[in-house]
Amino acid sequence: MTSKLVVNTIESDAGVSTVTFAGDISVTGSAGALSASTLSATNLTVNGNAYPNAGPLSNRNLIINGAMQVAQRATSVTGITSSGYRTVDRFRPSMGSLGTWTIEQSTDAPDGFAYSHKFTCTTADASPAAGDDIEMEYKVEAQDLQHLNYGSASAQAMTLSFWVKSNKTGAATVNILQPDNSNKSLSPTYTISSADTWEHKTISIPADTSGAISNDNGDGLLFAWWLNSGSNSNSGTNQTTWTTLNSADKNASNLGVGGAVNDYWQITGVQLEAGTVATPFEHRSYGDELARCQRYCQVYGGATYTRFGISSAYANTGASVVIPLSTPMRTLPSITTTGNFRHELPGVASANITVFTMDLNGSDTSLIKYDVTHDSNGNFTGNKSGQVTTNNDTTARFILSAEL
Amino acid sequence: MMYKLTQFPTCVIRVSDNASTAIPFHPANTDYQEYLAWLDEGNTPLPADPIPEPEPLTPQQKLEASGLTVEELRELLGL
Repeated sequence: MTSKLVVNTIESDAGVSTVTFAGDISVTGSAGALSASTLSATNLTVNGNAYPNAGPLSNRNLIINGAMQVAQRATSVTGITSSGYRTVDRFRPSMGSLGTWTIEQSTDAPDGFAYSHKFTCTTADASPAAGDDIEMEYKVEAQDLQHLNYGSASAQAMTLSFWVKSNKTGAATVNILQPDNSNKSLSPTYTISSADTWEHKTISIPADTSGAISNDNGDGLLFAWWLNSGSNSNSGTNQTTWTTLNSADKNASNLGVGGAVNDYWQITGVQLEAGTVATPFEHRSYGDELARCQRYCQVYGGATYTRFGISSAYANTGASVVIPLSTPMRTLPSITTTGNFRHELPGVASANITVFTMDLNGSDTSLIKYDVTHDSNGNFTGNKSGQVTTNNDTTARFILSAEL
Repeated sequence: MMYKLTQFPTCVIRVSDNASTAIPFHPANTDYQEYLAWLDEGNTPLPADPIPEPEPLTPQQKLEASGLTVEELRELLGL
């Protein structure tokens, strides 16, 4: 039944300072207008947009690259059977002995988004062994979570929201861990109702008044969207309050993606925010997201001869090299190299690089110093200055990783 | 998963099928944390590759490295 009350003005009674609406407040209609000196509600929706009830009004989304815009390492990889950052920045496929996968930054996405992160099974595992698993992880840096006041009486609840699509339907699990508190855990569930259809999901994360998150550059919260697993991870119960980790709860509701070839699961629009309301996704520019991603990963390469470091030849078989970084990184990074590289004295000589090594002495998070070992060449003497480049190889990549 | 030591005491290389990762010995680096866990499992890294033998310098390269011209060298030697 719909009832209707037509009034010109709602005023507080004499001696009452506040007019209280006991339920949710929703304002709709093109001619509608709402004004008040103070307006508060647990759930306030105006013209279909939910408004926050905790946290800031901007920079709300604690997830970096939630729209899957940035994929510095690659846009698609095939034949994946092990864990590691592969394509979309900040989101890490994690797996052990459960099928073979193509992982990509897909252009299939719901309205309002250009990309998603897609997992497609190319070799199935219909009966995973007890310890087999596959999930997608995201780790939030601890010092970015301090405003949630975890471990205090004023700890704030959070809301996780995302778009998801799969050929599989049914209940699935997101496991959330607090690494600073012996992996205290939540394992809430969400349900995919229709196959091959983008659906928006919201998960409530209760405040934790007893577990503080360290104010440092470590892993503050770990989110894992589980696709499939064996019994070690799916024989427990979904936990909706913070509790001591029980591994069997991690994937208590198992979606079972990867039981057949061409099973797929994809996600985008991931948002984590303070409060109990899922507000509209906070879109950020590509440049903004890239800079945030580069705190954890910076990639050089792509051109035939990409230059990425000024060298000083200390021997005819090696040199030290410096790179000022695009943005300060979380910690001293690792260097991963694939493909062909060379050390060159422009116009004089070049030599193929065989080994890259990271040099702690002289590196910090905003400038790194590394060493190269290369084929012997007598022209590289006397601390002559040169440069390091990819060597006629557009596929070569020099990747600095300071991921959580 | 296999690791190889390097000529530097604060760096180890993780070797995989198509990539090589140089890992600094820094406590907040998660690759280093994984390496320490790998060692705790009782594993042992491969020894470092020998440093390549330097190619002998030619007399001309030695002269260029010294910064002297032929005339200056002659004058120095009283020739």
